Amino acid sequence: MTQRATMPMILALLVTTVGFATLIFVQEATSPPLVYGAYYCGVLFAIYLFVRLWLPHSDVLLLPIVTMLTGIGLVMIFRLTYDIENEENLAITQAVWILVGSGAMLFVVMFFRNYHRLFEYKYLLALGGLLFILLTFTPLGYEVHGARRWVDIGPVSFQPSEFGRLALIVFFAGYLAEKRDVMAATSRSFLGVQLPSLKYFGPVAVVWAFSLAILVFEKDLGSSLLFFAVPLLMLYVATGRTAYIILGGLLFSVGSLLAYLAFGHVQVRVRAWLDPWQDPDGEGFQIVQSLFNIADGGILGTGLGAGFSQTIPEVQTDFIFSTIASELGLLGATVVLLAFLIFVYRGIKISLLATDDASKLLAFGLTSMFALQTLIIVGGTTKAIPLTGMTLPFVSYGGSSVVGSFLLTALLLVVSEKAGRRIVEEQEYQERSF
Amino acid sequence: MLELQVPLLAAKALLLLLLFAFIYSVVSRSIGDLRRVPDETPERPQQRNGKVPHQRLASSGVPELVVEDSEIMASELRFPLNDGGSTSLGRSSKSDIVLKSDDYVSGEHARITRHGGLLYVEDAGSTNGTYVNGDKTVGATPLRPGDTVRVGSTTFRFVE
Repeated sequence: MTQRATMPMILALLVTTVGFATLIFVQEATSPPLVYGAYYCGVLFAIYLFVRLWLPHSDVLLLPIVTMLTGIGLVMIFRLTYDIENEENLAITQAVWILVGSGAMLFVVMFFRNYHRLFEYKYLLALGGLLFILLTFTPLGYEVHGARRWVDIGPVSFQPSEFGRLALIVFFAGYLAEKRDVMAATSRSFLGVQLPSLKYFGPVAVVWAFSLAILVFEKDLGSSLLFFAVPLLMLYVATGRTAYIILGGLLFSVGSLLAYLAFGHVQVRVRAWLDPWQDPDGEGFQIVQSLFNIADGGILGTGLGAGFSQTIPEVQTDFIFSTIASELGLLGATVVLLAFLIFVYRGIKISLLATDDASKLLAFGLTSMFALQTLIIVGGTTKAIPLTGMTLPFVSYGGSSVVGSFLLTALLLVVSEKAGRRIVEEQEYQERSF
Repeated sequence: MLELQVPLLAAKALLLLLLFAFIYSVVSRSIGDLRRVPDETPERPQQRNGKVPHQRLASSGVPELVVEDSEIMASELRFPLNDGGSTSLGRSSKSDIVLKSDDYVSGEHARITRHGGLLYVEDAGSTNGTYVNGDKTVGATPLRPGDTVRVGSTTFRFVE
């Protein structure tokens, strides 16, 4: 873990530069103030160097991947909005959010190097996370496109669930690390599946009820799915008992069916997924336009600025992947997915190398949330699964999402620093003893 | 038309090339990291030096656990036991005898303590139990020289 990754970092920043240059010189877009570009490149490179110095044993590849993804995202957001009235400055806003996210990351890296302190306050964190999410039900909260997941506090509005779920993952990691031994103990088996004692299904039921509550009251399908799936995966990893997964799958099926029967907006999503052509100008419009754009890209893409993906509603947040597939083609979209894949691989690797159960579970939980989020939104835009409104981490436009993803990366970095330091110490110890 | 197409094509190709150069540089570093997995290689110092330093069942006077059969450690590896205090076995790095990367070992698996003239092994609430001479222990079990203690996939022989 102690290699340098300056080359990927430089390449990632070059991608962003070439992207902007293409739009400005070839497509004759109006240039955004260059100073923001300089800030962006400078800050990310400085953060990379700072993390190399401050956490010398941490995973070096996370930050270049983050830089590449945010860079692609910035280029795409700029491309989608530079000639649209009232939205010309979206790319600048995004750049500012990236700076805020970098600041948040720096804060975690500097003050939570000893992240085990977080586990000591896990119940407080869980409570805080829940209250934070519940803010959306106060008068401060408001709905966008039918999902009540926004909170407006004076100068900024944000989505509390993006931060709440990080707190909940920290809680689950600490909680399961303590309880994993009793939760894995089995007394009976049924059809070859070992059944833990009935009372330990309690946490599963609580998580299930909570995610259903989000679905019912916030009407936020994507968050609901994440809030259910990530704790369940962590529980499985902590105990190794398939019974939890089977029960969770059953509960999920029941919940999905109930949601489908009870809520119109769920039915709309499923209908638009099964056959968007029934209503290509109405319910299926978004997906149909997304499919047109992906098809238009072909293998090499139309080139930056030459596509027509502005036809998709919400293209800069939920559907940014369609724009990438359209303008950079199958090859470009593959690169982006590979970058996500490598990020997830690094996360799992950090989890494997981490020393104690709580750190392992924390790294795994964060990584699986990141992976699921990517899977759900990319699957949604390509019509592989029903669409749920969610951001593509780092790439999509959205302040809460960008800052949340940076915090996630920061936590992975501090976990990997501890794991990396231990490995180095062990190697030194072995060298001394021979 | 052509004037616009050529720079666009060049920009497109350059961008894709850079993207793949990025992936290549990242993957090549990840693969280097994959090949060097320090945790998973079993430690076999004795075999590497071409000599087995201890005879089986050799008595050295101090109580020791000798690895007899293990998936994670070299056999004949010796762990001296704390004579006065207690020795802990487990996967946690805080244990005195660390059984790392064995999925069947709990963080804090078993303890060996001295009461009177005898050493006792006691399960510390592990998931999969501790076995002495093949039987699962309930409570503290006294150890006699030659007894085997199994924790996870590792079988130790107790010598004194």
